[in-house]
Amino acid sequence: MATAPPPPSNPLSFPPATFQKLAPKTFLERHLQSTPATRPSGRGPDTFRIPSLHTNSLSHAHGSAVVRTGDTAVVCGVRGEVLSLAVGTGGRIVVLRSGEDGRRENEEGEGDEIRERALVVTNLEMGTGCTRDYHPGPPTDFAQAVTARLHRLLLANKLIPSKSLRILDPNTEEIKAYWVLYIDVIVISLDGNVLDAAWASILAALRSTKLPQAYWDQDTEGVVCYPEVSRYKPLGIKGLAFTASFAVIDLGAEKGGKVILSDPDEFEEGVCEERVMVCALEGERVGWIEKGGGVGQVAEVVECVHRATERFKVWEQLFAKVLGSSG
Amino acid sequence: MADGSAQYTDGPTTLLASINGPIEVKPRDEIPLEAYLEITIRPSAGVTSVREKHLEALLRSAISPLIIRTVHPRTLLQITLQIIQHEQVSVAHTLHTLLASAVVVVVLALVDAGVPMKGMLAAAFVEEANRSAAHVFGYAVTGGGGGPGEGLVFVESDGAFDEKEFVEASEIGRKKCLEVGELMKDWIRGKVGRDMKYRLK
Repeated sequence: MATAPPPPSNPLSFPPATFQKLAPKTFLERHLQSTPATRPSGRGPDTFRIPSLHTNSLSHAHGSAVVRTGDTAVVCGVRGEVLSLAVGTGGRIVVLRSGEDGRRENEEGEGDEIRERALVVTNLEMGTGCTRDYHPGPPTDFAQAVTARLHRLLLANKLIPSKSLRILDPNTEEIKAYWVLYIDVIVISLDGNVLDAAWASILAALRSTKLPQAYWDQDTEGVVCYPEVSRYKPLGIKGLAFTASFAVIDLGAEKGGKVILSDPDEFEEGVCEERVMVCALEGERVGWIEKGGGVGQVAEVVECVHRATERFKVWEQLFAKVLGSSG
Repeated sequence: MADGSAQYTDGPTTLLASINGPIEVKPRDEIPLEAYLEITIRPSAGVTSVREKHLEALLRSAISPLIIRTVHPRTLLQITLQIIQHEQVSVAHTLHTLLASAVVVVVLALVDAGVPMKGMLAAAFVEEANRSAAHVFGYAVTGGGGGPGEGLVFVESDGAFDEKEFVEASEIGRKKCLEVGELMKDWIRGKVGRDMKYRLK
């Protein structure tokens, strides 16, 4: 009879990890109701994770970058491939892209060529085992949606000058071919907010990209590149743009109303339905706003814009430090 | 035979939405306390691509906060949107105009299917006069019986603008949404009137 275990002293108590699993929403709410409001990760509601950046760590890409914010880490590689516009040269298969017949180039028409001839190809891949909930297989709807958003951001912000992607005939100054940029982002580790990290990695990789100097050779009717590394040229990316993502949780009117969480991690993204994404540009301007998942007010979005502007400065400093002013 | 459907034409855009639900859900998609929401968008030509997946994600974030999913737990609510025609007026904003129409048609189909909702969502496309920015705003327009009332549910803005311009655009968007909301209510009144004619003897 003496072997019976003693009854638990307090049957309603369990460790925090169990609480988090059993009632994730209540767990987050309790954290945010403490003074000062603290998230389970120890950050304040308006605190972003500190980013880190390395560039050109991949030797076979024309440009690359690794970005890490907290436990979210992504690698981006940019590779340029030549797209010839000449038809049927030397029995090679030439891909003709839509909207290419007879468009005259003008210096102002930036972005249109890139969009219409599909000169940038973005892809985001979630590495197997990057997170607990991600299983190997074809790209999930989530990965595809993030890819589409990155691609839209890239085209909308018009950062890449189309001039740097043109390959000309040196005698006639006619466009004979284009560089196509294949931008691949691989998520190594995912702890929420993959978009911000992926976008920053794309921007850093593009800024560190150097393409070989190429010209159209009339004699061979093909594109020729100078092999010397010293003649590689940067893309001349114009301006900066950084995204900032937010999750919003409603604690109820009497308990403090809505709380906006900057840079949500995996757990917070799982609990909060409402999301806001702001893409900040230079000079406190905004290039993109996306909001969905909950009923709110304009004031909420405006608050997110303010935080995104602050976040822009952090990224700007990091880019200036790592890439220098040349970038 | 779908549980609810709606067709909507706005200028060069024609969309058809159909709703099935609540129906049986695949075990892997089952959510213990809520209905699972499946949104499929079919393009007018070609096969579903990354673009449609992106649109599905946006549409989900727009309409999911208004659907009361806890009424039918462990079931499936299937939303299918067929793009019948969508002419590209300007390539840059093709997604925005499509999105605004998609929200309206899907909400009408949801009402037709009798899906429990907190309110209706109306969406409007707003473009800056100098074409520097384009916005889509989604406002909740009806909130009978302790619903959310009026509120900003959805924003998709693109271009280059600042805070002041955004707030101004959102005010225009709110007014437009209220107009669209009144139209939607009229359509539903007309539809219910026709359906219930046999009872009004």
